[in-house]
Parts: sequence; structure tokens; C-alpha cells
Amino acid sequence: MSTDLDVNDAALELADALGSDFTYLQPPEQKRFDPATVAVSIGYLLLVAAAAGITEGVKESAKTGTEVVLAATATAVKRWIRKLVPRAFGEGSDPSTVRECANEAELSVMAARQASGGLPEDVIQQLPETVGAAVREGLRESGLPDVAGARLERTVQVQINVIIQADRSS
Amino acid sequence: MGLAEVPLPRGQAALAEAVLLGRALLGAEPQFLEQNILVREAWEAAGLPDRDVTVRMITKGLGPGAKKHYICLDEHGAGRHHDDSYRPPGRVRTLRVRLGRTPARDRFLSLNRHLAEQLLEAEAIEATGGPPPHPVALRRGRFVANAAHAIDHCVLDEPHPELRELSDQFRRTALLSPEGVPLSAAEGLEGEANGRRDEGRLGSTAAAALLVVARLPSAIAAAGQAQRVEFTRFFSFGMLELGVSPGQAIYGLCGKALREGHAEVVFRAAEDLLREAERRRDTALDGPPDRDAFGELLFAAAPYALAALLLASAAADEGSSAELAVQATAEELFVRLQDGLVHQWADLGDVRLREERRQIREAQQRGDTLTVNLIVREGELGLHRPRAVRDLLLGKMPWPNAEEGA
Repeated sequence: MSTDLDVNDAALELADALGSDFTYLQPPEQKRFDPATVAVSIGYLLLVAAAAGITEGVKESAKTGTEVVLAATATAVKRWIRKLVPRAFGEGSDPSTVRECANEAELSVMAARQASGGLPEDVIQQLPETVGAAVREGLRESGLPDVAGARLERTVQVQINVIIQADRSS
Repeated sequence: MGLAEVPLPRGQAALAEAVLLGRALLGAEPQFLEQNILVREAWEAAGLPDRDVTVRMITKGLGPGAKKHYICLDEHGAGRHHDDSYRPPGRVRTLRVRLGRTPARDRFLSLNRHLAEQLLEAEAIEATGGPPPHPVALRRGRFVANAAHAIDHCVLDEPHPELRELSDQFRRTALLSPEGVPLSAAEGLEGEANGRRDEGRLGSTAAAALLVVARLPSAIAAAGQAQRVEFTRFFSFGMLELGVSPGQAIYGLCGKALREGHAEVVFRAAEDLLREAERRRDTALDGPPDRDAFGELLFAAAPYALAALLLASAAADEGSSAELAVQATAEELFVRLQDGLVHQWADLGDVRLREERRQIREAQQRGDTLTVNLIVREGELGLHRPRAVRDLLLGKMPWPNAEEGA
């Protein structure tokens, strides 16, 4: 299974799950008529946030013990969301910036796969749920309504599961 | 070629176009569509490209003064608006657009006249023992005939005959009832809004006024103690205001609610209306690849988005970021719904859809999956087409007829 294909598919699934509701995350004074570049950028950036959160959570647990890995991951995912989501609404959101986000997502996912490789099976099993809930919570804090958040949470769970499990089965 | 020079279709094709054009005109104030067409015609007449251009647009209506803003399109056709205070860098072209003409309305009324003649012919055939007109065609014909009247009543602060009728009916039957107004009256009024909208009798502003009068009193009643009394007080007020104008009903009722300390309820009602608009939008996006069915669902969603926008705007005067976000989202959704309705009519012949298929095929041939994915989603997020068209655009299913714009 190609890593590149996984990442693109996952990001597009996230973009589709968010759909037009990205407007809740948009600065109110901003009006855009390039919704696809914004939505797809956010898809990739959410993947970066999820993957970077996993990597950070695993690193944190290396210091303090595996029992905190899930809590540390959730905290890190939310911090990454606060940092990354505004980027999708920055100046110059065009296909070249979407490509930058895609490259970043690919690197983050590879790092997360590597970092999570040595985790115990029961922690791995719980990661998708933890990351999904953290994404939902992080986006809720950024203004996304719960209906859209719940839809996105389910999609994040599925995609994180695919990404993490694909690596373990290969 | 201007719209006035485009030949009028006949028969079934006339009915199909008239329904889509009627929905586009009633999607908002008809002026939205007229302006859209006049800008497009001026743009083409000036020989401006569709990409990689910055234009300072100067629009002049019937009144004094002119509106000025910049529109910047990048090499991919995406872009943004800037108001006149910010001059974008680089070369700027100027486009002057004179408003006031009504090419869409003129075409719609011509189509309506043609369809009325067709109906007379069909009735004459039936009277001589021939087959009756098809009920679906009759229903769609009635929509067009109703819309031909409704387009004259789309202004927020002018009286609306349908709203006045409902207001008078309420005054005669329910206003002085000793038991007060039953809570079920709100549901009935929302049913009137949707039913009359479906029949082409209400523009978005009038339908939005009915939705506000149906939803806000219920929300206030649900939040308080003496539910029936509070509901009766606010609902009666709103029903009487409907007799004045859509704007009076919306702003009058909303102002009363805010004065009496219900700002939070006004905001929650705006959120609920927005959720309903979003639900209807999502139903449209998840529906079949049928232009008419898609447009019908967008048409039904637009008044909810407008009602949400107007309530949220009133509540946002209080100013929290959540309120501003709901206001901005409702505004964006309403604009996209209008644009989606206009697109269903403007692309009736699938010309733009075929162009998208061509661009996707080229991108597929050079292995550019990002461009493919962006084109697919641009049309869906812009409410130009449902998601079911995706497989057609990606070449995963055959084009309905053999040409495929190849």
C-alpha cells in the first residue's frame, strides 16, 4: 500500500467530511470564493495535526510512561489544531499551498507511523478514538458546531485506523 | 452574445428552463441574478479573461453614485473580492457596468407567456376529447405562473400580498381567541412558508419572514415559564407585522425580542434555522444527479439560510465571536445557495459541466490528481452540482449521451 495514496485519500475524506462547514472556522470578515482549496488544505492540515499529535504523545510517554500516551496525544492534537487551522485561511491559498500542506501531511504521517510502531497493541487500538475525539474538541473550540464535529470525528477515527494499522500489517 | 439574443426554447424545453430561471430569480432579490448577468455580459464585451486578472469594477444603478470594488482572479480561476479602499498589486483593468436592465426577468416573462399559450392549447385539445395535460407539467407550469407574480414582490420593506393574506386570516380567526394561540400554529405557519415557496408564490425574503414568525415565538416560549401566553404575545405580534412587510415582521419581531431581553434566544433561533438550511443543503448534495431535483432542494433551503442570516445579524449587534461566526456562515451559505440556483439555470445545457470534464480528463492524463480533486470539490462546495455527478466527471461512468464533449 502506497503511503502517498493513503495520505491523499485520508485528507480528501476529511475535506469531504468537513464540507462547506469550514466557514465556521473562517475569520468572519473573510469572504472566499475558492472553497475547494480551503477545504482540501484543511483536510491535509487536520491530518498533520492528528499525526503530529500522535508523534508528540508517543515522545511524551517515553519520558513519563505509556499510560499517559493517549492523554498526551489528545492534548498535542488540540494544540496542533489551534496552530494549523488558521493557516488554511491565510493569504495565497492556491494549489501550490495545498501541495505544501500535502507534503507536510505525508512527512507527519510517516513520523507518526514510525513513532507509534512500538506502542502496545491496546494503546494502538485506542489511538483512533482518542485522536478523533481530540480533533472534534479542538475544532469545537475553534467554532465548529457539534453536528459537523461528530461527522469529522468518525472520519478521523477511520482514517487514523487505516494509517496506523496499514503500517503494522505491512 | 447577450441574454436577449439567446433564442427562446419551446414546449418542454421552455418549461424546464422557466422552472430553473424562476427559482434563480426567487432565490434572493431578482436583482442578484440581473446584476450577475449584466456583469458577465460587460465582462465578455470588454474581452476580459476569466483567469489571472485584477479588475476594478464600477457598477452604476439608477440612483446617484456608483459602487466600486476590486475582483482578483488567479491563474486557476479562484480569487477574492476587495473593497475600494485596498488596491491590489499589479496591473488593474477597469470595468464599468450599468445596471437597471432586467434581461433575466424579461426572458422569464416571455417564457411564461409562451407556456400560458401552450396550456390554452392543451386545454383546447382536452376539451375536444384529447388527452389531458400531464399533472407534473401542470404543477410546474403553475410554479412558473405563480413565480411571474412573485418576482414583483421580493423587496424586504414593501407589502407582500401572500403575507398580508395570512396576516388578515390570523386577525379574523385567531387573534382574539380567549384561549390564546396554540403552539401548533407555528408549525402550521412553517408549513405555509414551505408549501407556498414550493408553489413559486414566495421569494426568499417573504418565506424567511414566515419562518422567523414561526420559529422565534416558539423559541421564546420554550425558554420561559408561561409558554402559551408568551407564544401568543410574540406570535400575534409577528403575524400582525407580516401584514406590513417581510422586513417589518423580521426586524419588528426580532427587535421586540431583543428589547425584552431574549438576545440569547434570538441567536439560538438563528442557529436552528442555519442547521435546517445546512441539512437541506446536505440533502441536495447527497441527492441524485438531477439538475431539477438538486435545484428544488437548494430553492427550499435558501429561505432558512436568509432567516438565519437576518436573525444572526440582529443578535450579532451584541457582538460575541460565536454570533459573528453564525452570521458569516449564514451569509456565505445564502450566497452559495443563490449562486447554485443561478448555476442550475445558466448551465442547463451542461456546457460548463462538459468543460469541467474536459479539464479533469486533461489533468488525469498528466497525472495531476490534486487538480482533479480540486475541480470536483469546487463544484460541490459551490453548490453547482450534487456529489453523485462526481463519477461522471471522473470518467467512472459513461456520459448520458455519446458526445462527452470529446
